[in-house]
Amino acid sequence: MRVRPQLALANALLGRLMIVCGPGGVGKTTMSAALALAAAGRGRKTLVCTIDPSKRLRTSLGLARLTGAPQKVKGRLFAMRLDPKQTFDDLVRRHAATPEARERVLSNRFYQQISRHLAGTHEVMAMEALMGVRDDFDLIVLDTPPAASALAFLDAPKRVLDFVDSRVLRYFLKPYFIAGRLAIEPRTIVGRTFLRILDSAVGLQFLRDLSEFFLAFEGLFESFRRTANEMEALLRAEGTSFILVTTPSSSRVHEGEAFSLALQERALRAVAIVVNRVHPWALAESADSPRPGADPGPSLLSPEVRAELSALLGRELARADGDARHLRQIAAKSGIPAIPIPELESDVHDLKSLALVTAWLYPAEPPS
Amino acid sequence: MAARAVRPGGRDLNLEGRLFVLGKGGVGKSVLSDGLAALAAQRGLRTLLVRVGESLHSSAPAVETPRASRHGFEVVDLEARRAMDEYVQHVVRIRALVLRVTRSEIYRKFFAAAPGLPELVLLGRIRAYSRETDRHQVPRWQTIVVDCPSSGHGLLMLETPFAAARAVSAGPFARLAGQIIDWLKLTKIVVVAIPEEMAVIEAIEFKDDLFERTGLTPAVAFLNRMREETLSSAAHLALTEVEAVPGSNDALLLECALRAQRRTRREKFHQRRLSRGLGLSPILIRELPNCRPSTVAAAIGGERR
Repeated sequence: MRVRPQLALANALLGRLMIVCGPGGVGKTTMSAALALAAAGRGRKTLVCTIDPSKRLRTSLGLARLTGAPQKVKGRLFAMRLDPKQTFDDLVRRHAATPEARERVLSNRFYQQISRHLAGTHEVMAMEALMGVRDDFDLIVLDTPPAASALAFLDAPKRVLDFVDSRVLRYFLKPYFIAGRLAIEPRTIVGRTFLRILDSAVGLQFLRDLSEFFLAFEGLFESFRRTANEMEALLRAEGTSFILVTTPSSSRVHEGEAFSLALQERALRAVAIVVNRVHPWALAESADSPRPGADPGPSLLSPEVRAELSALLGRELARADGDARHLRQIAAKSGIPAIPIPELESDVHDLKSLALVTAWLYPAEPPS
Repeated sequence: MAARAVRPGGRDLNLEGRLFVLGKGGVGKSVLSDGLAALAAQRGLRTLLVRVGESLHSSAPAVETPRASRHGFEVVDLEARRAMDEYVQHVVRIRALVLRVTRSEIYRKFFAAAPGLPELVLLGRIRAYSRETDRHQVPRWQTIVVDCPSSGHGLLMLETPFAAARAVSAGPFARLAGQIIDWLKLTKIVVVAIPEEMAVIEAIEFKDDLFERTGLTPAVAFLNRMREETLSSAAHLALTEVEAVPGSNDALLLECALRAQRRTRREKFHQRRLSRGLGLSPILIRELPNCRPSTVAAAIGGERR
């Protein structure tokens, strides 16, 4: 008898942090909410954090009026909406040395760009927001920000640390550009060539604006770096587990494998791959998924209708077979237990339909 | 309202010029980009497919310079860092020095840290492709299909020159941004969605955000992975009138019909919503048996299957 993959997931409910990764559009937010619901059902005080969930889920979780504080959904389930920009602004307000410095940063046009878009900022800011509320909960389920790649989250601290790297900052904090001309020449030929390239590529005006930004931001880099370091430590901590959400298509097979490898390389714990939107007929463990019998028996349908619907059934079975095949491949290639969730005919938009998903994640759990 | 009876199709789609293909991750953006490029090539247009950013579908090495594909169009993978390196080569010209600069840490980190620079360099590179000509001043490509990063990042890329133009008023950076803006205004934005809640909502939000930040609007929309299973009236009648024995073959067939009926209803709902939200009739693409560019091209072109 093989071990049910769901067991691995059940253990993760006993940890401190579940990080739900996956590409956009696979149902990551719904899965995060379903996982949190399961944990809360087991008596753990659980917080699900998500960035910009769809409106219906937001309504069902009671997040509509939320800004950035945990709000009780039901029983021991809490939800929080993450706003990376807001968190970033708060960070600036908290750590800026003087009110003038604070205003200089917040009003700087590069800050607007960076706080919204710099690669890795959203992820690190999500973690920053979590740090603040971590001690109030037994378990936090984090729905990672949408990204093209499931791996974006893992590399976020490194990217941010690169950004605040002291060497590059030292360069910008020197007043090369401040006067809008090369007042002081860098000593090395690489430095001089580099400046010449920058001048022709972007112009010294741009560089001066940029330098101003870095100067204004100077006092904040230390706390920024600390958050990124803490995030890295938290990813590795005992009690932190990773879950990949994906769908049963051929293009996702490779992705599951890449995710598994990336986690191994970083010595992080993957507990399960949740394969969402699997054809219901692909789920049956054995041969009891529907097949047209060899002898169709007496039929109440006209031959034409029977032929039409048989063709339809054939297409449906082909889809189910495809899903079953991809499901097997995802599990085999990644080496991580795969848990299929059937495609639901309606969108998940309230706690009741969410509980249906939870029942698939944890079949042993009696439906509440 | 005669126009409503006409099924919007790709047959009349003008494929000349630049097409930027955008959409939420997982809606089939890359597959449709391949198909658009293949269709343009079939129509005799010299076509380049530009793939921007990481591809989830392939572990093959990146194609660094335009190269012929098996499907009649050329293809190139574009990466911001490499595009910048090429630019450095262009400016510096001394090979040894180019290497020293591009390998230096300060260069690498500056490039990662300078807001908007990677996006601007990418767009600048695509613009340069669109202006390449042969000896006789004939444009090298008549069609350029750009497979953009998924929604958020794709929007950021298109938005950058506009933001840059607002942020910096003078100098080469502002000039470059201005040139790219003028060029982008003559570019077709193609939005891809699938008949699902989130994908349709995101496509509509994307359109609104794009307009707000750049003034650009989508020219073409695709609704991908449609099944459009329609039941005959006899089958419809059977659904309401036949009481099949549970577990019988009839019951299975009718369940299947019911599923198809509900799915079609959902598809129609999402189609209406997308049309209304975008102010644009989407071109419907059926769920395809495979992702080969020729198959996708046939589906876009509206050829009979």
